[in-house]
Amino acid sequence: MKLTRSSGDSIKITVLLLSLLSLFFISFMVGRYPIAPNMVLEILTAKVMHVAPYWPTNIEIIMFKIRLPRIISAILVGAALSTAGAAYQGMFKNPMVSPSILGVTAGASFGAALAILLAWSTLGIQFSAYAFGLLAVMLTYGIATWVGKRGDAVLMMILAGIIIGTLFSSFVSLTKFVADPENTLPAITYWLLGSLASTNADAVYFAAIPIIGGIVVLTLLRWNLNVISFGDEEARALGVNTIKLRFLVILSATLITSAAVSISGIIGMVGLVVPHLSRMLIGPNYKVLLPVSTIMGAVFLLLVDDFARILFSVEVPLGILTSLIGAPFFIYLLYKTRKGWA
Amino acid sequence: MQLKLENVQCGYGNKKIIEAISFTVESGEFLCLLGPNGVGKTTLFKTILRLLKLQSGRILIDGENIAKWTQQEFAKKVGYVPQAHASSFAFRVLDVVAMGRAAHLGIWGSPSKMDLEIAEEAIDTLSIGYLKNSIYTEISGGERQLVLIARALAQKPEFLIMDEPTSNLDYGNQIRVMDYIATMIKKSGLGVIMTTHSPNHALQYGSKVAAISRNGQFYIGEPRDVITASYLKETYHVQIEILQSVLQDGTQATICVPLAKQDFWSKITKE
Repeated sequence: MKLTRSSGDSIKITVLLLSLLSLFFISFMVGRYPIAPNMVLEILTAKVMHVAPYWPTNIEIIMFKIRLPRIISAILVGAALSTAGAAYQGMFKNPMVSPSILGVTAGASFGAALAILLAWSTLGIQFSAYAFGLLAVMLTYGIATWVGKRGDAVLMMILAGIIIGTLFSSFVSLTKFVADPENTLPAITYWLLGSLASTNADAVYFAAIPIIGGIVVLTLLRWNLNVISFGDEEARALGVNTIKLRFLVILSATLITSAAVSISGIIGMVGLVVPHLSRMLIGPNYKVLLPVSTIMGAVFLLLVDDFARILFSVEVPLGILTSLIGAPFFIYLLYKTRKGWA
Repeated sequence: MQLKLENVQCGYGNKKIIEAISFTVESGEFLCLLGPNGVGKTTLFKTILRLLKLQSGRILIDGENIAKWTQQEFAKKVGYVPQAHASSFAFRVLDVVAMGRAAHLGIWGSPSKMDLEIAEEAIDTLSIGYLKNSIYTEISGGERQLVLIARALAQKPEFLIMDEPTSNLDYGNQIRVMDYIATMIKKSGLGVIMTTHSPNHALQYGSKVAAISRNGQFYIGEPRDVITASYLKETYHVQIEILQSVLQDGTQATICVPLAKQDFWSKITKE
């Protein structure tokens, strides 16, 4: 029984990894300028082995300068949001929690809006978004630890997160209010919609470090997320250092979410829906759930971004598309799992 | 092994709820803690489990003050069985029991094959092997309580602290769970402290009874010496008669039976 179960799990994980790999190749082909599958393969092989190029150089530019950073950022952002979402859902013992619960998204949005208002460079906007995302969560964490000394630490955390999130959302509105409606306001609005269309390679590689680092830490901690999902006191009675665990989880989740938001803007629903989908596929045990959420998030966002690129002649912002797909899907999940969180 | 409380005072923040409590529990002993609602049983438990700060006094395990121990070290010696509850997530029973290994694994760890074997052993001790692959959120309250006991056993502690393990259970499950606990103590030699609202459970299963009365008075001793008609009357304001009886199988039993009377209501309204 146990054997078949775990081998079933490995088949599912293998299938997920294979779909990620094939989607990776397919993503080079699709877009405004379609590239034939054999050409994608040959050009990729040429990177490793020496093959005399017979293709026009602009195809290589499209593949490596435009599509590759975008593919990598879709993978990173998708993996980041769903890993953080899955970790938070366990830690807050609530399956309705998304990575933005502690205000990171609102903070990052304000950081970006402010930087756009001040006409900073792309990297400047990214850095500002990242820094304000971290700042917002630091404020939430600080308030929660300060107020919640003798209360329910987790509840305090959520309440403080709501307050800080609302505060930073008002700051975003304020920034929009004072922005020049001719060019700055549309830029802010477009950034907030969430898109991978304008990702540049440097930005992606800069964000990759905290995202990968955070995912590694969460992956190492993942089994203890099972224990803490039974509540703080019970986890402590079971011998878990919950203060340290919570700190590490929040730190990693914030580093990765903030980095993800800084390259993509706000991409909703991924951090909520993908962990659910993963739970349906593989069950709630974080030992397998967390890695599955990571891979599934990457697959999901890469797929949706491909659709964003090919669906209409004008590109639909990715954040709109994920919400359009995510919302009905989430209602379906609620309907399917209303008896319990399968 | 010996768990010893010396002049323990506890409460929330600066508020004092229980003071100057001292008792010891040895391996193989079954101490039932009795007391009305709000008298501080849970506070005392949380303090022993170090979820609340000890206001004064000492808690010793084998003569060693545990104040400086880490939560992990402590959890290797003392396990905790909470009241049966639902989980937010539909874990498999075996996975829930394996969580008892947390103290031995640390923050970066996860159960190895050996840990899963220990979990299965704990499941077998309670004879709930048939539940192993069931979903924790889908089993009954009584079964969940047994799963939580198994989880505490997987922790491999020397002492167990149980918070009203029978409180949410139906009559049959109450008896079943109490029998399981009594058998488990005999099998494993654990020292157990359990709160209960049922004097009959304490009389029938306890090897020692500690009772806190409404005014904070603390009694400890043989079940029959502590649970007296006068204690029950003073504590719960009800008339109780204590009966001695020889059961069909020849065992001697002490049971208490309430005498519901009209003046009981008048007394309640007067307060």
